Amino acid sequence: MRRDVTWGDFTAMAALRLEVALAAVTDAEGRSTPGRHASRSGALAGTCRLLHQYAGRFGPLAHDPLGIDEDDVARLRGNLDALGRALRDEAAYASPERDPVSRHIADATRFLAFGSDLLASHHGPAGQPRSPYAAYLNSPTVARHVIAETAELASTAGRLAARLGQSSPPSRDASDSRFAARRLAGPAVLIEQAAIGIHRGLNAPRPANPAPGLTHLPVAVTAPPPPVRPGEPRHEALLAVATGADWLAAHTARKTAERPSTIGELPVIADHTAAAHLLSARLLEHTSSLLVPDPGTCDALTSAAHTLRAAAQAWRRAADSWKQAALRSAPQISDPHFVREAEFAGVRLGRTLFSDGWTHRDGTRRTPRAPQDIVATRTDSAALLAAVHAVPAAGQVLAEHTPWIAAAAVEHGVLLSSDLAHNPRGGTPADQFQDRWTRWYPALPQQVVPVTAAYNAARQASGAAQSAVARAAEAAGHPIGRAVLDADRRRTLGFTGDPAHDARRVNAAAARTRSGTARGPWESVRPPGRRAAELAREVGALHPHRGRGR
Amino acid sequence: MTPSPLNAQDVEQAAAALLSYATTVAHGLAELAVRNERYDELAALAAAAHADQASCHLPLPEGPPTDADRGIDHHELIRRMEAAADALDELGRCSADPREVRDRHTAAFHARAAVVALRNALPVEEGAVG
Repeated sequence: MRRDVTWGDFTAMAALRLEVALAAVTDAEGRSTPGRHASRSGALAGTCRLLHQYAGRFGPLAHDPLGIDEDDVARLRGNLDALGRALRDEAAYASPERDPVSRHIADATRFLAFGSDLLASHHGPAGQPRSPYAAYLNSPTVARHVIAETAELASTAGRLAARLGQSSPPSRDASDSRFAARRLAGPAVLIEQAAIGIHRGLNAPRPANPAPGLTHLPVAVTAPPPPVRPGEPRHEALLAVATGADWLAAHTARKTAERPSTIGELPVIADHTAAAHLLSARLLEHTSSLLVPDPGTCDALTSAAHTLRAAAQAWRRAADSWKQAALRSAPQISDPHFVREAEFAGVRLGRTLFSDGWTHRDGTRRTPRAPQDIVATRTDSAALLAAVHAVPAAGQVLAEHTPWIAAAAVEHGVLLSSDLAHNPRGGTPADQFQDRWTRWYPALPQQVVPVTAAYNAARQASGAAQSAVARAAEAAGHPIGRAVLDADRRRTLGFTGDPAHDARRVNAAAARTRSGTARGPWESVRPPGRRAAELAREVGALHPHRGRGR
Repeated sequence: MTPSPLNAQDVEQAAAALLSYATTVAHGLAELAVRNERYDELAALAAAAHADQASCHLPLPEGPPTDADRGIDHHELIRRMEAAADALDELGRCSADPREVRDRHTAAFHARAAVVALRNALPVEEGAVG
C-alpha cells in the first residue's frame, strides 16, 4: 500500500545522515585536506541555516511556563546562527572538493529542506489555511515538538562542527587551526547546553511527548484525485477515496478563509457524507470476517461499524438542519468540485461493495460482491481500512469548518431565511400583504445556532467513528499513522463546533505562548548560576574532547 | 415557441417548492429507514442530495409549499416530480439564454435522479407500484 511521505520521515532521514557523517569524521585518522574541510563546513553551514529557520519559525511559540525555557530557545537560535557564520567562514578558505562525508551532510540539509517545505505547504502565502492541520501547526504543542527535534538535530550538528574543527587541516601558522577548532567548538558547546536545557524543560515538570502525531504529517493536499471512471480498478478506487477525503477536508479548511457566495453545496455535501459513512459501515460489516484474522478481536470492527452508522444519522440530521431552520442562499452551487468530490467518495465505496456501475440512486438493495472478492489480499484490507478511516476523518474536519462558513455567510448577508418568526417585516398573514414584504430575508446570527449544534453533533459522531475505525485497524494489524495525527490535532485544538468559541481558543493558545510574562513559581527555586554549572557538567560528559585543542 | 415569462416563472416556482418538500420527505424516509429495514436509508439520502442539488439550479420558492403539495403520498410526490422534471426540460428546450438552458436541464436531471432514488428508498412492493 502507498504511504504518504511524512515530516517524521524527512527528519529521521536527516538525523540519520548527520549521525553517519559524525561517525565517519570521528573514525577518520589525522587531519582532513583543505578542500574536504571547506566542502564539509559549507554543507554543515547549510544545515545550520535550516535549523536556524526552524528555531525562528517555532521558537516564539514553543516556550511556556510548563515547558521549554525561553532562554534555552533563544540560546539555541543565536548559537545556530553563530555556528553557521563560523562554518561559512571556514568554507571560504579553500575550494571545495568531493567527499562522501560532505555528501551525507548535504543530504541531511536537503531532507531538512523537504521537511520545512512540507510544513510550509499547510499555509498559503498570506498565512491562510490550506489543510486541516494549519491551525494545529500554529499550536504550542507542535512548536515544542519541533523545537525538541531541532535541538536534537542541532546538538548532533554542533558535535559534528566541533569534530570538523579538531580535524581542520594544518596551516602554515599552527595557531590558525587551533583558532578554527575553538571557533567551531564554542557555539557547539552552547548549542549542546541549550539542547539539554530544552529536553530537560520538556521532561522536568512532567514527562511529555508534545505532539506524537506530528511525525505523521503529510504534504497538504492541493489537487483532488481524478474523477470516477468506468472500470476503475478497485485498489485505485480505494486509494482515491482516501485522497479525495483528504482533499475535501483541506478544501473545507481553505474555504473557511474565503468570502462565501452561496451555501448551496453544504446540505448536499452533508447528505453525501452521511451516505459515505453508511457505506463504510456496510463495507466493514460485510468483510469483517476477512479483515480480522482472529474472531476474538471482531468486536473492534463491530463497534466501528456501529459508530459509523451513528455518524451517518448525525450527518443526515446536519443536512436536515438547514431545512429545519428555513435557511437557504442564492440558488447556485459556487463550487461544483466540492460537491462532486463528496459524491465520488460514496460512489467509489459503493462500487467496491456492490458492482462496477453502482451509483447512489441504486441504494443498498443490490447483492453485494462476495467478501473474498473485496478483500483478496492483506494489501486490500489495509487499503480498505485506510479508505474507511478517511471518511470520518474528513467528515470531522468538514463538520468543524461548516459552522464557520455559515457564520461568515450570515456576516456577508449571503444566508437567507424564510422563517416567519424572525422576519423583520412581520410574520402574520396581514404583514404579507404589505408593501416590500419578502419571504426571504438575510438571516440573523442566532438563526444559525441549530445548524451549528447539528454540525457539532456530527463532528462528535465522526470523531468517535474515526477513533473506532483506527482501533479496528490496529486490531486488524494495519495501524493507520494518520489516525495518531488526527487524534493529536483534535486534542490540541479541541474544537467545539461554535466558531466564536473555537477562534477564541486558538487565538488564546497562540497569545499565551507569545507572551513571555507568565512564569512558574519554580523559576526562583533554581537560580541560573546553578543551572549553568549543572549543564556544564553534562556537556563535559558528552564532549570528552573539549579543550584538547587549547 | 417561446414560453411566456410568466409561465416559465410558474413552472420554476412550482418545481422549487416541490423539490424543497421532496428533500424533507427524503430525510423523513432516511430517518424511518433506521428503524424499519423495508426502507432504504442510502437511497433516501441520495434522493435528498439530488433534490437539494436540483433546487440549487432553480430560484428560491416565493411561497411555502402549497397545501396541495403537503400531505401527498410518496407516489403522488414521485409523479409530480416527474411531471416537474418534464416541464423543466421543456422549458429548457425553449429557452434562449444558454445559462437558463443549462440550469433548467440540470435541475430536471437531478430531479429525475431524485425520483429514481426516492423509488428505491421505498419498500420493494411500494416502489414498484410507482
